[in-house]
Amino acid sequence: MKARKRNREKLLFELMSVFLIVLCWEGLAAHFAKSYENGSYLFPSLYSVLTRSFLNLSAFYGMGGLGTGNYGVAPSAFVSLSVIAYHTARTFLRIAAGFLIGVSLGIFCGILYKANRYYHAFTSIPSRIVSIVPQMALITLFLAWFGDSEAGYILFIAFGIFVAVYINTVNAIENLPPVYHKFSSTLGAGKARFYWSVALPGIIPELSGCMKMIVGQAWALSMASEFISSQNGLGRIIVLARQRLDTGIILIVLFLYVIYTLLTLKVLYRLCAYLTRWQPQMESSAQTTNGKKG
Amino acid sequence: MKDKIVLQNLSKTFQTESGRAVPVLEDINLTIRDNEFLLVIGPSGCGKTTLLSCIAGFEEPTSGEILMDGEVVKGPSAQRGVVFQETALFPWRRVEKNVEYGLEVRGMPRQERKKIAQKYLEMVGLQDFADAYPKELSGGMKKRLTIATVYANNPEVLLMDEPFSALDYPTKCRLQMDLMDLWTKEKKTTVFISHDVEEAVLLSDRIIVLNRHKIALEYQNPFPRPRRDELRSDPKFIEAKEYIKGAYWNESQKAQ
Repeated sequence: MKARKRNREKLLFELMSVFLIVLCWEGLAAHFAKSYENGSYLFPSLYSVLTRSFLNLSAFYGMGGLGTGNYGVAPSAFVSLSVIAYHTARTFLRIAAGFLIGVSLGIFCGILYKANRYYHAFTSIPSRIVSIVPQMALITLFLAWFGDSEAGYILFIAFGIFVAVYINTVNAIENLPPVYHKFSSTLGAGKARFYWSVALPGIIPELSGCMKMIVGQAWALSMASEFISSQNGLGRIIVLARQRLDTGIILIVLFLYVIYTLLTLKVLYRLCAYLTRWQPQMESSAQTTNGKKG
Repeated sequence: MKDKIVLQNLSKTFQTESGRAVPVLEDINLTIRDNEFLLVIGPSGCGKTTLLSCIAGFEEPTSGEILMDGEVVKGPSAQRGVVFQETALFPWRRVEKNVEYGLEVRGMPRQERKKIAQKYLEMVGLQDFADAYPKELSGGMKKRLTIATVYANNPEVLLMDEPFSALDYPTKCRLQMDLMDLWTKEKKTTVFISHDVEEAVLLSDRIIVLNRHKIALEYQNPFPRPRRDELRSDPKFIEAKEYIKGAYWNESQKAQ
């Protein structure tokens, strides 16, 4: 009963906070529209974002592969949605490819670092340097090497993910109970078998935490690369919207980023929960301590 | 009975961080016969776990050597199965898959693995939990699963490092009987570490009391097998316990 009342209170406060934010926003929008030339573009009202700016997205129909060159399309909700869908797909595919490459290589190299002393010695210093270099600063390097190509964007995202996963994999293996290695060796497992059948599944819980953190990083890296150079993607729309002084479009794209990140996190949470279904749950104080079988 | 494991002038010294040498085992000479159940008992810090680690191949002796079937022990091997004090099961593998692990490593076909796993799960009474994860098992059941996993791999030697020490008394008594039943059906050369005198007299063929890095007492267990729970209250059993306790505590007091 108390918990339900507290939840209702919490929901009320959350709704109130959203309402207050909307109220403040509309107040500022009205002030900007009244006080500045082009003020309604700099700080648009929510109504203007959902109508004028949304329709203005149709202007990007001819850009970056979708309806190439066809800039004369009449603005409509359908065209704007097509623009959103197309550029979302471009961004998402880059992130997915970069994520998969970065995670796979990060785990592989992390395991190799712990398993092979020569690799460990050889890569110890470069690993430390790479982990310190700010990822965003490497965009221009990747652009110089790969030009304005999908490979460049994907590898840039992959590299950022790789560094985080690599470090977390090394730490996760170090945190594995030493008895796992001993037990597997007494059951006949050699080094390779240990890392494949014991270390890899054993580090999944710790890596799950890392994955949830790097999802946001992956979206951010993709946005950053699209800002600088890409001809398509959600980041590119933000750049062009800024040039047109259409802040409403920027807000729409940022809102989409938030939704996509949350959705990706939700999927990842479900996947991680499935992969770690064997983990003991934390018992609440209300549960009996002898609730196990037998 | 042939000699299965021979410890010759075994010594082990550890170095502290400050560089001080700490002797843990000094000049141990011990022969363990084939299919013998040897129990090593002693106060904390006497070196019994180190002794087991050396036999298992986890630790290299500082001097002396350990021979198994005439060959020097150089590292861990599937021929020396170990049941650790802490739970060593793989929590991401279901119960049956844990038992199959060693057999998978050997490349055994799936049907054959399954058959062997089911056999040992039945022997330890866990056949109804084959599809469960270890998290769903109690402490006692996890120990039985570990024993089944090690046994299924068919090692020649079984090394057990205080496997029941964390369990409550009734569960420990039950597991001791389960182990006796399993060991009677499939005898293996066993080295069992304990600090429980009752457990030592109940399970062993021979008891070694370790103290101050050396063998302080060797005791040949007079009780015939099979041994049942009722033996615990037998006057002769209690007398044997008191004898071992006397030697154990005298040595403990000397150590202090």
